[in-house]
Formats: sequence, C-alpha cells, structure tokens
Amino acid sequence: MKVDNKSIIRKLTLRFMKAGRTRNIIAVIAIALTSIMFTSVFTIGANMLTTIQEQTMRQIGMSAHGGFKRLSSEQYEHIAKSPLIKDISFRKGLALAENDALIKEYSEITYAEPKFAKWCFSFPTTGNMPVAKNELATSTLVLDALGLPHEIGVQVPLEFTVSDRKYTETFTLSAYWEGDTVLPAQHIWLSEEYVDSVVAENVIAPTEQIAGHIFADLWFGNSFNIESKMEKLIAERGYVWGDGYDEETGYGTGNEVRPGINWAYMTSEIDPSTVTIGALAVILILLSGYFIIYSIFVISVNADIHFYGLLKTMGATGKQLKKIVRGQAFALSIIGIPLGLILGYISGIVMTPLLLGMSTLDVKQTISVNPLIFIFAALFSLLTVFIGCNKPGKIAAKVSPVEAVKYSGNLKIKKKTKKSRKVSTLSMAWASITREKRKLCVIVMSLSLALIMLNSAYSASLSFDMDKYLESYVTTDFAVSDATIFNYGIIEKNTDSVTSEFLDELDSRGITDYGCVYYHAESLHELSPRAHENFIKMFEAGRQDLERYYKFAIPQYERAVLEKTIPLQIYGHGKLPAETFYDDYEKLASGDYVLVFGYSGENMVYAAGDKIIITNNEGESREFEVIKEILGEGYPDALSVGFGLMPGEKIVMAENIFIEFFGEQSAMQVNFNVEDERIQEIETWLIEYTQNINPELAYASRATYTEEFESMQSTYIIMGGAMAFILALIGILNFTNSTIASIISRRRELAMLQSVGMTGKQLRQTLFFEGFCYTVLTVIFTFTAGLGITWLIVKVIAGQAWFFKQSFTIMPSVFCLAPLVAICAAAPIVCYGWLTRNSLVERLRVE
Amino acid sequence: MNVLKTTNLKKHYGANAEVKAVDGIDFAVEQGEFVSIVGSSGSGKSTLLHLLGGLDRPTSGSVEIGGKEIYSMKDDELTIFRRRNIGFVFQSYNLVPVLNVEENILLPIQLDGNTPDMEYVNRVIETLGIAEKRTSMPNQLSGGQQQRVAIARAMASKPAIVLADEPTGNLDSKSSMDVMGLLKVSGEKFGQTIVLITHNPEIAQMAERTVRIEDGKIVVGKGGV
Repeated sequence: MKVDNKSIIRKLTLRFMKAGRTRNIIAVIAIALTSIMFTSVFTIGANMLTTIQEQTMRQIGMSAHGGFKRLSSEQYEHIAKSPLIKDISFRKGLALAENDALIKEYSEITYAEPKFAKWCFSFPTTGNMPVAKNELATSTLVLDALGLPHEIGVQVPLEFTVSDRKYTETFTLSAYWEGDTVLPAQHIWLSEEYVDSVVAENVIAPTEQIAGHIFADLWFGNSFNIESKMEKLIAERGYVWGDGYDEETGYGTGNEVRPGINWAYMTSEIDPSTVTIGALAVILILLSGYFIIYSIFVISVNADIHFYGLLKTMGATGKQLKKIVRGQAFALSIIGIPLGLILGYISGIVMTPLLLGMSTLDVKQTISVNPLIFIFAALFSLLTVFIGCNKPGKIAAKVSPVEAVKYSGNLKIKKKTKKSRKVSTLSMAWASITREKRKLCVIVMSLSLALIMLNSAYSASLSFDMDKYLESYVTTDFAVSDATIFNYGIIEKNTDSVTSEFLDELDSRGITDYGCVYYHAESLHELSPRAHENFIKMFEAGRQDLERYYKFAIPQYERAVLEKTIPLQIYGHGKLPAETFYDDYEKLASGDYVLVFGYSGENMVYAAGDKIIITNNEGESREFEVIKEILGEGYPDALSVGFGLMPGEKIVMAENIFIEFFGEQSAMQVNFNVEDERIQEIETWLIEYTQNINPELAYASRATYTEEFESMQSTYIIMGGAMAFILALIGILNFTNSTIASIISRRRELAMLQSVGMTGKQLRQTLFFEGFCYTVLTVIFTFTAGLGITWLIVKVIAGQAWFFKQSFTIMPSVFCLAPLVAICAAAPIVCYGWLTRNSLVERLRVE
Repeated sequence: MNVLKTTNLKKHYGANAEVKAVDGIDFAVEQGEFVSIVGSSGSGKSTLLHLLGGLDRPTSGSVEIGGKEIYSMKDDELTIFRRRNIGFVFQSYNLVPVLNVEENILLPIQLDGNTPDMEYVNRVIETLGIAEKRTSMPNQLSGGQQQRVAIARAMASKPAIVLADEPTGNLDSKSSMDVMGLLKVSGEKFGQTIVLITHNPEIAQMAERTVRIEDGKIVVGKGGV
C-alpha cells in the first residue's frame, strides 16, 4: 500500500529545524566550509589542468585532437568526408624560411585556412589572412627578427628553396599577431594562389617534406581516447597507420597515412603525485566534513531523541524518522552549499596563480569557469552531508519507543558497578566526557586534524633545502656565462664567451673575489686497463637502473666497453668555484693533479691515486694523478656546461694547469661574490650589460633564486595554513556545538548537582576541566599518532622535490596550544553563564 | 468480544532472569471496557502496559489485539499496526513541542498518510474542552490541558484500544479528577476501549473494573479478573 504521508514528514522536518536555530547556524557554516574546500580544490585542479594542457598545446603548436602529415589533396578530401570527424582544416606546405635573419626563428612558409591558423595559435589579430598573391601574414617575432615594424603594408623579403630552386621574393604584410615564444615554430602565411603557383612551377621530388603537401588537423566529438578514435577513423576510411614512403608519389606506401595525436589531451600525462595530492585533499575534506556534520547531527538527534521516540510511539516508522533527519540536513545544505561554492570559487581563483607560480612554466593564466567544478563540488558536498547524517538518521530510526520516552541524555552505561573513589571536579569532568566515547573521539580527531595539517604544512615548507636548491643554480652571489649554458633546452653550447674584456670590466668595478670555470671535452678518452675494468664493473652494477630509466644509453655503454673509450668532460677551475667542493686549491694548482666525482665511492672508474692520461687538441698526451674523489652529489650543476654524458666522466683541474695544457682561451663561466651592500648595484649593472652591451652573456644571481625559493616556501605555508585554519574552524565549531548541546542536555543534572551542594565555582571548574581534558587528549593524539601522519603527509607533498630534505617540526602546533586551551576552557564556561540566567528551581523543573 | 488478550505473558530482565517484571499474565479486555491496572511502584504495571502497546518485546507469551498476534510482526509492521490500532496517553503528556495542539492531535493519522475524519476529531476536541486551544503550542498549556490534548490525540484515529500510563501522575488532584472524568466520558461517548495504569486506588476506582498487580503477577482484586 502506498501512503501519502510526505506532507506531515515535511512539516515535522521543518518544525524540528526551526526549533534548533543554533544547531542550524553551526551546521550551515560546517556545510559551507566543506563545500568551500571542495570548490577551491576543484577550481585549483581544473585551472592547473587547463593551464598545463594549454601550455603543452602551445609547446606542440597544435590545439586540435589530432592530424595527418603529408596528405595528397585527394586523400584530404576523402578523409574530410568521414562522419567520425567533427571538424577538419588544413595547411598547404611550401618551404622553410631561409633568410639569415630568421636562423634563430624557425619559420615555416605555408598557406592555411583561417580555421587552421586559429587552431595552431597563429591567427592574425590585426589585418586579414593573405588572399592576393603578394600578401603575407606572420607573427611579431618574425617581424622583429627581420627588423621590420609591426605595420600593415610593410614589405617583407623572403628567401626559401623548393626542390633545389632558390626563391627570393618580397611580399606585403596583410596581417600580424603577437608572437608566442613557446611555439615550436613561427608561421608565415601566404595565399593559396601563390603556394599553388610555386608548386606548379617545380617538379616536386617524392622526398620533399613540405612543398605541396597537405597537413590536416581535426577534431573529434570529444577528447576521450583519441588514439582509438584515430584508429577507427583510419580504418573507416580504408587506410593503414604507418610512416612509410612510396618512392614514386612521396605519400604513404600502399594505403598508409601518417596520423598524429595531440598528446596534450592524454590524461595519462598528469603526473601521479599531483593526482595523489588531489585525492588526498578530497579524502581529507570528506573526512573532516564528515566529522563535523556527523557530530552536529548525532548531538541534535540525541538531544531530540525523546521526540523521535515519541513519534515512534505515535506510529512513525524508522524510515520516516530517518527521512526527517536527512531532510533537515539537506534543507540546511540548500543554504550552505551555494554559499560555499561562491566563496570556494573565489579562493580557488586566488590560490591558483600562487600554485602555478611555483612551477617553471611560462604560463598564460587562464581562469576556468567550468560548470563541472561546481557540479562536482556540490555533489561531493552533498555526499559528505549524506554520509555525515546517515548514522544519526539510523540512531533516530532505531530508537526504541520505551527507551526514548525515558531517555535522559546519557547513553547506555555498560559498567554495572564501579568502585567508590573520592569525587573531585577533575574526576567528574573525566567521567562525563568519557560517557560518550564516540563523540569524544570525533571531537579529539577533528581538533587534532587541524594541528596535524598545520605541522605538516610547516614541516613541508622546511623540508625544502635552500642550499641544495641554490647550489644547483648558483654557488656564488653571481655567475655569468654564455646564454646557451643557462638554457637547458639548447644543445649547442658556447663554452668560451666569458672574455678577458669582461673580466677587466669586473676588475674596473672593484670586484676581485671571482673565479673562472673553463671547459674542454675529450670525446674519445682512452681508458687505462685498470679504469676499463672498473668501467665494466660499474656498468654491470648499474645495469638494472640503466634499463629502467636510461635504456637508450645502453648501446653506448656497450660500445664503450668494446672500444675502451668514453667521453671526458674536463673543467678548469679557479680558486673560488673549486672551493665549493675542495679545500686545498694550492695542492691542486701545484701540479698535474685532477679531482674525480662520484656518489658513494663504489664503482669509480678512476679512484684517488689512479693515473689518468689526457690528450689535448695538439695531440699531446700528459699523465695526471687523481688526488681526490669528490663524493656525494656529483659535479655541481651550477658550474657545469649544462649537460652530462652517459657514459662519461667529469674531472676538474686547476685553472693554471688547464690553460697551460689546453692553451689560452676564454672561460665558460665566471663566478663572483660582492659585498652585501653592492648586490643591488651589481645586479642592475648585469641586467643592463647582458641585455644591451653583450646579449650573448647571461647571469644568475643568488638573490633571485633565493627569492624564488622563498616564494615557493611561503606558498606552501599559505596553502597549508589556510587548510589548517579551515580545519581548525571545523574542529572548534564541532567542539563548541557539542559543548552547548551537552550542557543543555545536562541542565537538570547540573542543577541537581548544585542542589546537593556543589558550588557554582566547583561547577565551573568541572566544566573547565571537561574542556581541558579534550585539549589534553588532542595534544596526546597529535604528538603520538599525529606525528606519523605528519611525517607521511610531508613525504607525499614535498618528497617529490629534488631539493627535499626530510625535516620535522611541531612548533606551529605548540604555538597553537595556548589559544586551543583558552577556547576549550572558555566555551563550557560561557555556555554555563547563559544557563544560569534561570534560577536553580526553574532549572530543576526543566523537562 | 475480546479486543485485547494476553496469554502467559512474561518479561524477564537480566542474564539469569533475576528480575521478573511481568511473570505469566493472562488478561483480557472486552470491547468498550474501561479497565484500570493498579499496583505499587515496581510491581511491573508499566512494563505490562508497554507490552500491551507493542512498545517492548516480551520474553515469552503473546498479546493479541483485535484478534492479531502483535509480536509476530516485524518492527516497522508493528509500528504501522500501532499507529492504526493503539492510542497512548503518558504521564508526561509527551506532546511534540514543535507542533501545535491540532497538529499534535492529527499527527498519528497523518503519519499514516490518511485524511482525518475532522467531524469526529472536532467532537473529540470539544468533548475534551480544548477547542479554543487548537492553535496553541504545548508550552502555552497547563498540565491538565496538555493531558487532555494527549487524550484527544490517542482517540483521534479511532484506535481499537487506548492505553493510559499514569495519566494523572503529574497533575494536582483537581486536574486529576477533571482528566479522569473526561477520559471516562469520552470513552463512553465514543465507545472507546481504555486500559489505565495507576498506583492511586482512588483514580482506579473510576474504572469499570480494576486489576491488581504485584511482583509481575495478577492478584485477585475488587471486581475480580
């Protein structure tokens, strides 16, 4: 039988709600806090994801889901007709720009449909795409490189080669856009008419990579599993995935095509530690939200249990009672969740740049207003509310009518007898807080969580080792070297750009505390028989690691074993740089001595005492003696040429020996220290010098890296602190709420105690001790099991950084103890104050 | 015809059944009867009433109401049975504080999803003299008034039986007599079967029949069993 009793249930739900005003306010705040945390985590997550995704797309130079390289027009027309494609566009290749001025700015000359230009981040913002034969559009970067102004109508000279025929032409600029340095190539758009005419003039060789070929980009309905969508598309059109060449046509052999997939869309590209942190945050929020919502409703159900029992005697079923409890929670969510969504979104937007600022990406900030953020945040908040009030609902549903009618607030007391002890206010306080163990646990846990979070955030920020961080960038106040040395992306390094003129410049500025680093590579260093043996040993010992991480290097190792040669990177050090790892520079400079580098001292190719024979460019060989093994981190990155070799060894000799043996040359790098008060002045000079006087040089300074480090450190503290603050708020809210509820439910009990002779002072003392006991238990938990949790959290959130050094502190929580004790002790007393506005007799009569 | 019938009803507490609150009671109530159960504190009369009303479960024995064995039902089934067939009046009134007088009275009917027979309910309300208090909240009423609301609530759904547990226990003697009088009058007027528990012999005398309980057993009292 279906009965319509919804209206009375709704009425009861609403009336119950109206009765618990304080409870409602606390619950709304709790629900709002929960959804604030969810929304900000999701906003941060979504923003970081889209920003990183867009960053990747710019690096690839493509926003479409996938594409095809080198199609014939027939193939393109055929593929474009597929119903599996949502949108497709193309460009028609011509050549690479060969102007001398464009050697650094890799630029492709093509015709593109406007849509295609948009998809590869190269659509004009000023002017129109080329239509006439003499029109051209390109980025400001290309114009800058050519030394041309950003003006429509400017004449642009172009040089390029198509099938061995050299072209030198001049075009009129019809459009341009702000160039993006992150893109792998700059585009120069010409008209289709012009591209077609040049292609028609030539016999295009089948091996031609660009001229006359169609490059297509396309979109599917969605970005889910693009690879299989692409496979389906190729199969549906009757092609085969391949990269072969047909000698005659230059297209794929048989029916092969060359598809590409935009891996910016691959979700697997998100690194697992980010996912772990995200998941951890969600669980933490769920847990803390659960704690408070649960305890608010348990308390309110227990306070009202009498009435739930009464309703049951009147004939309300368990299901109906559960509905009443859940209905109240959801009604409160209607206010709490939207509030949280708005506040959470705002805080998410504020925090995202802080987080992105920590990464080294060249970021164009995009703020995502994805509705999914709100949907997920709302759903997760509701889920929290749902599971939070599930158990309280069950308590209400399970209420036995008889028990409820007699209910006096305290739960079943299992102990049957109890030894008589001297009653003190402290023992009474202890007895009353341990009456409800579950409630005790929830409150202690939620207070501890905040302290643990605070400790974790602070410990994590301390776990970043500044020395280790700085060391890898700069070992002195300043370092100057060729720009290619600082740029890890560039493989061709200039290792002799720090000229004696620059050193004179330093002298003229009164800087005397400097030291140079020189570089020489010996690509085929012959290993001594003993070193060869050692090399084989080292190779075998490290083979497993090599196979796991550097599989590509194994053939080189094997060849080195056979040919008994390895590349040698030789550095010549002045006193200042050498002293970062070796004390006795006089000894090093006194003869044919070198230093070698290793990690543990085991499996060294050359060890202390070994002889090493080095050959210079003149073919002259000399025997050097290894005087020391420098162990630990290996050769410092900050003093290196920017790459190491596998296999390969690094050795260091003194500057004077290096020059004497390899000949007079300019240094790779100069490191120098200045007086603290001159740092600003020197930095200003270096900026000016490296930008305008010698742009080939670049500098690194300890001050800028220190700043970078500190801002990253403070980001962790801010974020962790914010999280701890919210958790603390939840914990305190939880505590206050339960205190109020427990004092109200014990009104008569307290009045009774007073009537039998307990003074108001003793009563307040009891209540103070109750709060105090909560604090003590919280402290005990935080400083025992909590330490383990802190250690784990730090490991997870900071452990991935290469400059991580596990460190640990409990100071933040120690500082929080005083306010915690104050709040925990004050809350019960304030509550009691409200209570005693009524006279004792009135209170005794209270039902 | 018996509205209520118990057979060898027992309720024991403790691991070894040290406390025999109800110890083998056979007891029957006829349609329209007004029966009082008396006994001193701890005689087991409250436990008996809880068992009669399906609020508690017996150790053994059975309770039939309107010919149905109530303890063979599951919890929710029993709850539904209870709201349709049994009305309760408690010593401490037990009105729902967030509902007004009328809402309290209609509550059991509405929990069942039924439309109340307002004509009948109005007559009950008038008989009990609380018509003017319809919209008052419980905390605005005196004890006697609250108990009259509770009686109206118990009768509103025309249950098979009304069980009253010390309904006058919290009232002064004048109010007690008022409430008892009203209970009796409305019982007669609406043909309602009533079982009342009290420790007060004076109150008990107002019933048609009195049953005395001591140590969980019925002892022969005035009016016989």
